[in-house]
Amino acid sequence: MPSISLKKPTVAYAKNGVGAYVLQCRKMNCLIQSMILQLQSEYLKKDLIPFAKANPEVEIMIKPRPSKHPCIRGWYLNGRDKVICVRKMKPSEIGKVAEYIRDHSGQKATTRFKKPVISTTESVRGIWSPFHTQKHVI
Amino acid sequence: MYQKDLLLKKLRTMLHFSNVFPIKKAFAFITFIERKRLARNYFHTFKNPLFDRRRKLTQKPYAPITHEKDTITPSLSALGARLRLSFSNPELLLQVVTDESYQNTDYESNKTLSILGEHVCRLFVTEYFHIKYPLMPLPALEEVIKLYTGQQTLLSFGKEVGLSLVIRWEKITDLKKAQQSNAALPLSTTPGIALMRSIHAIVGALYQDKGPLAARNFVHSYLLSREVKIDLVYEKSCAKLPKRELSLLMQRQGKIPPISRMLKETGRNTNSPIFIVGVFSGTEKIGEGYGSNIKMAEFRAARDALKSYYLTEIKDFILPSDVVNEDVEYGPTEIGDTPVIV
Repeated sequence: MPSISLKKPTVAYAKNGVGAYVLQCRKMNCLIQSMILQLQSEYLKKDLIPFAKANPEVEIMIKPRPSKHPCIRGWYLNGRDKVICVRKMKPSEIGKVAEYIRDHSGQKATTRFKKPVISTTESVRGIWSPFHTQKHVI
Repeated sequence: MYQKDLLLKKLRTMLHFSNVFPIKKAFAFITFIERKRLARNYFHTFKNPLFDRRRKLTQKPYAPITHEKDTITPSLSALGARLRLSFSNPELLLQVVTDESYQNTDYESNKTLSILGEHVCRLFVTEYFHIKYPLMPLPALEEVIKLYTGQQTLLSFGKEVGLSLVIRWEKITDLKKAQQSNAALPLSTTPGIALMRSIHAIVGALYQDKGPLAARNFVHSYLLSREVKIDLVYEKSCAKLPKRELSLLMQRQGKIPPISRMLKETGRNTNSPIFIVGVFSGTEKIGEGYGSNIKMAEFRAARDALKSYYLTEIKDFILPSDVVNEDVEYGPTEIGDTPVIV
């Protein structure tokens, strides 16, 4: 039998994407080694400005970070952040990293074993699978 | 860290051979290394065009950017894009996030807009649920509206959307000064209330600037898309005496009075029995309930029957506010019956 909560509901829970979808990445820091490095500066000049224009939901900052590896750090609405190093990467590769950080949910990347699905309307019998039922006969 | 460790190690070895290497000399050597390190950092600052050369080394190398008074910060414009707010005047965005406790501004606070927005918010939520569940009793309807437009929901919405990071709010600590400057200054404003006012002000500004449809679109897509278990709200706010209420309801509808019948049972003589009881009006089964005793199972069955009647959902309806659209012709849905008086 499904667990029945006896509490009086107090909050309407968010279902992101049911009405409007809110992008979870709120801020992106491009931490660069120095402007002299050619590959990075090429990315900054050519690709970053169109990227920022296409994603107005994300606040983009460039921050010098001398004598350290260049990296991109994303800040998320759930308060977490994610950093990826872009050392020795080509401009196209840096672009992919930036897109990955933008699309990430910000949640901690862990594999859930006991309860693989987080849901407000849980099914007692788990998720229906087409591969574990009788074959459909036409 | 690495350099510091290295220095300490060097210092230790030098102190060990202090008879060969005088302590004074050792310290001099360390300061020399330290100087070299500083010089290297300084070299970097020269190389970097983003860095201001005139800055001293004692200062923090990259201080946070300070924005001028009343400018739309990047984080605020990002929030505007996230909520799809396209006001005709971009300064409205700034006004919407300015609480009345915020002093360092030339703009008006968001108070008037928030009062308007609060009512607009409640109007659209009430309208939607009143039409979707026409038979829902008043206590449950009030509770649902409170859930969708209440403080807790709005606070979590503001946090989830990142509004709490950009609201312009100040804590007034100097009470005497505040009383001297302005008697009507809000002394009890908390960040939560400021956040809630700001959300209301967004709705109000949309209503005023873009029209009722834009405001309704915002309320529907950001607030009404949230989830509330309505049957649970009904259970908690109404149906205190479901058996009596159900028999009165059947009487008013001119149906056969409800009778409970045992459908299934197991372990009657054990310490963990389960009974499943159905409520029948004539031959029609109108509800079903479970319980570890027969009384509770009957209670739940009657409540289930009441729920299936009072929470009847209407699909594909037109809202009264759709009339703003000229293409749509408004045809009212039937107003639901009142609940029975117990």
